[in-house]
Order: sequence, then structure tokens, then C-alpha cells
Amino acid sequence: MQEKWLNDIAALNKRREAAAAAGGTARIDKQHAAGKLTARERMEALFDDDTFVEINDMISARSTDFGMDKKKKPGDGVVTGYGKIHGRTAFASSQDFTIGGGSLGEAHAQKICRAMDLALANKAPFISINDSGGARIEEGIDSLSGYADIFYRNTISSGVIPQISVILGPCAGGACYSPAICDYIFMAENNSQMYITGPAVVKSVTGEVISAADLGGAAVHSAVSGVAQFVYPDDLSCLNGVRRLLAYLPQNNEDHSLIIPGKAVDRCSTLADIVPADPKKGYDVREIINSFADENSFFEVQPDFARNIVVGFARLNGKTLGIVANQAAFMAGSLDINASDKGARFIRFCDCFNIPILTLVDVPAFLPGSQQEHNGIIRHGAKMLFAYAEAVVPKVSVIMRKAYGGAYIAMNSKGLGADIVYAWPIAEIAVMGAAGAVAIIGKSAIDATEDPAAKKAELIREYNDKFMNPYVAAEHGYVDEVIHPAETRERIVSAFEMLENKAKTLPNKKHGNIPL
Amino acid sequence: MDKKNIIAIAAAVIAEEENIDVQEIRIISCHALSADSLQNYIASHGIEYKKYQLED
Repeated sequence: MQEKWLNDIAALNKRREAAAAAGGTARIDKQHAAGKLTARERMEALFDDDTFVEINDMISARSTDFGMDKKKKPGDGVVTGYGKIHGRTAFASSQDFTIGGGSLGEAHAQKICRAMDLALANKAPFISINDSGGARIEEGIDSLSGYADIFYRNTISSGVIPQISVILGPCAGGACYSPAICDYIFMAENNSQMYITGPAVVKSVTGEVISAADLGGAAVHSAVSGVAQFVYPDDLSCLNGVRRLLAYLPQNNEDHSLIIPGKAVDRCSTLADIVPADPKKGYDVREIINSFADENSFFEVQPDFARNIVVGFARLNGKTLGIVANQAAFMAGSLDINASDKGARFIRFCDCFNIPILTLVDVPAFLPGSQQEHNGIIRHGAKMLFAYAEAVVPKVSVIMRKAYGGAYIAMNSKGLGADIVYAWPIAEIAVMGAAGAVAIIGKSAIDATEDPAAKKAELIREYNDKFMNPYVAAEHGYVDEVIHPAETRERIVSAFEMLENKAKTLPNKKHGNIPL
Repeated sequence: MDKKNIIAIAAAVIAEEENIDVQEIRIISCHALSADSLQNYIASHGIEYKKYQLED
């Protein structure tokens, strides 16, 4: 009996070593030479030290077509398991490019699905690290079905557990749809690519010659397509970014974010110096955020895409909140298609995961023009309105400067369900700016006078005095309090404390039909 | 027989077969191998790296 124990343990150790060897030393060296970590090294970097536990390390391909029985390796090109991140359980999969190019076959998909099922059942975040050549062609339709099984689980888990995709190598074809369904996508500048159709097929079908990086690299997806939300230089910094993001998030949709005490910051007495009273002059709204958020707590999401709106997580007295802010420094902070998509997605994520939302308003309009109209600003802009109206988390707005027309409504106005709305004394809450309004409602009077310029100036002054202030809105109950900018942090903290136990439900329905 | 005893017996057998002092045998897990591999990669590439923690 003793001997059988020893023999069996020796056999177990041999199998474990084979699994840990991945694709072999040569392929591991090649991975490292490309500036990439191996699948298991990435897991070690992601999870708290000494907490990662691998599961299903011996699952291997069952297919025997095209010589698969000779090519198969334990693990089938993906490492899956669980561990702790900031002391809290999380699950992850990490594709192993050293085995079959990380290609996805039936067993590979089965492993990922097992880990996803465990994450959902245990109400913990799921992180997928992508580094794969795509579907394993030898396994045919079983590969495609494997992808479908993963996409199905991404969808069912959406809004229940945070799902994060980290692209640390190629991610091509249908494989892109799992990251696309996840909440956040991280990419590394030195090695990430995502595209539905690669450069070779693009060239053969359309004749266009384009590099992989220009077609679907990190810069493209972070700044142009809006597919990725976070970009870091390399694997290690990317995985650290994931750790940083998870520090702001709860484990699941029934949980609340960690309270992480930090240094309270209140530089709101300087806000009147940062924000020009002239509504035509720009400033960086991130300076506003950093004047009241806990020190170094603002973590911007998607900073390079739709820069006319700023979204991100911050802390106030250690508690996470989501911030949506018009960025006057870019396109005067107007809302366009991309900004509406970016804002709406962030608002809905916060609502999914019980993260209160603070909205900082300085918006002149939805961006006019045929390009916007023909590309559907109507339905894209509607996403912002829908997202805010649907959100049941505490919602507080601060109208800093301009708030005109439909864009004012879209930026968490009272009518859309804002719990508390503050306004600064320089706020202008109106259907439109004075010049535009007078051109319409004062046209007859201007045309009738001998001195149209003087009449126009007089009417603009009248309009400014009457409407371009926050007091009409305050008198009508659309603004709860007009505050001194120096009072901003104090008021925001007070409002969110008051709203801590907010409990609001929506009418019973399967789900709404947000314009897409 | 628990895990510790099984490993101890295996270590004793290996020591006898290899004719080495059993005190010299180190039990390394595959998990530890990966951790060591990551640390070796960081060290060999001169990378400045600190894992992000909550206090950061």
C-alpha cells in the first residue's frame, strides 16, 4: 500500500510539472522576449501574493482530428482559478499563448466556463486575460460553440458580478465579443490587438493595407473606437491597473464598495479661481474633481475617448462614488454621440453595482451638425437620459456653469430623478444661451427698430438678467440649493450621507429597451 | 494519512534513493514555481515593480 501511495504521488507530481511547464522553455523564452508574461505569471501578478489556486490544470483536448491527440497539452492553453485581490475572492482565466498559440478549443472553453460559473455562483468578480490566436481550427464547430458558451455566461453575469477583460496579446475575430460584453477592457500598449477581421483578410477583401496596431492596437481602441477603457504600457502595469479598479468596486450587485480611508481634500475655496465666470472660456474639470475628492483618489475611466465628458471613480471620506462631468476644455463640454455612449455606459455600470453618482454640469448643448444627426445623435443622446432616469443609486448634481436645453436635461436634471441638485451662483440654466434665444424670440423687435444692434444688445441684457442665473430654477424647485463653490465638498458629502439608505425600485419588468 | 505525512514519506524515499540528507530536500509547489518565475522575470529585466495595494 505504501509503495502504491508513493508511486501515485510521483505520478501526480509528474503531471503537475507537465502542466506547469506550459508550452516548454523555448516558447516561454519567446513569450518573455516579446515583453509578455506567461499565463501563470500573469495570475501571480493579478492576485494577492500566495493566494492564487489553480483549478482544472489537467483538462486537455479530447479531439483527435488533424493530429490533435499528439499535440494536446495539459491545461489546453488556458490557466483558470481563483485567489484574493485586496483580500477578497476573485476568479480569473489566463490564456496561455505558449500552448497552441492559446487557441480556444472545446476543453479550453470548458475550463473558462467552469471558472465563470464559479464566479457567478460565489458572487465574485471575474477577470479574463486574453492572449490567443483565436479559434482552434482543428476543432471546428466545437471551438465556435465554446466561444458561444463564454459569451452566454458573460451576458448572464452582466450586472451581477464585475467582469474585466485584459487584452495582453492578440484577440481576434469572434473572441472579441467576450471582452465587448465585459464591463471594462484593459489593453497593453506593447502587445495588445483586438479586431474582428485581421490585416491580412482586410487586405484581401478590401485592398486596404494596414498594420495590426493601426487596425486594432491599444491606441486605436482607447482613443478612436472607444472599445477599451484603460491602457497601460505593459502586462505588469496593466494587471496593477485591474487591481486598482477592483479597489473601487463591490464584489457583486448586492454588495457595496470597500471604504478606504484617505486624506480628505477640500480646496473648494479655489474653485472660483479655476472656473472662469465667462462661459466661453475653458478649464479642466479634473482640477475641480481633485479639489474635493479624497487625495489621489480620482481614477479616470476612458480618458482618451470622448474627451468632452469625463467619467471615473473617486472617494469621498473613503467611500466610492462615480463622477460624470462635462469637460469644458474640450469641445466646450458639449455632448455628442461618443460622449453620450461613454456617459451612459458608465452611469449604468454604477447603477448595477450600487455606486452613487455625482454629476458636474457645464454643458452648452448637444453638438449640432449633419455628421451628428446622420450618425444618430438622437438615439445616442437618448442613452444618457435613459441611463440617468433608470438609475436608482443616489444621484447628486452640481450645476457649475452652463446648463442649456436638452443637454441640461440629459445631465442628471431634477426631472430625470436627481435626488439633490446644487448650483453655483454663476450657473446659467436656460433653454439656450442669451444670443441664440434673443435671435429667435426678439427677431420681430430687432427687425422693427432703427438700431437693431442696440436693440439686440438690450434684449440680451434683459434675457441675461432674467434667465441666465440659477434662481429661476431654484424658485421652481429644479435646483435644491444655490451654493458658494467653497461649500461644494461639504454639501456633496452631506447629500450622499443623507442618501445612504436610499431605496428605490423600478416597475416590475424584464428589462427596459434602451435605445442602442 | 494526511498531506504532511504523505509528503514526508515521499521526501524520505527520495532522500534514500538520491543518497542525500532529507533536510536538504525542499518541497516546491507549482504555484510557487510560477511566483518564482515572475520574480525572476522582474529581476532579470530590471523592472521596477510593486504590486498595487489598497494603501496605494
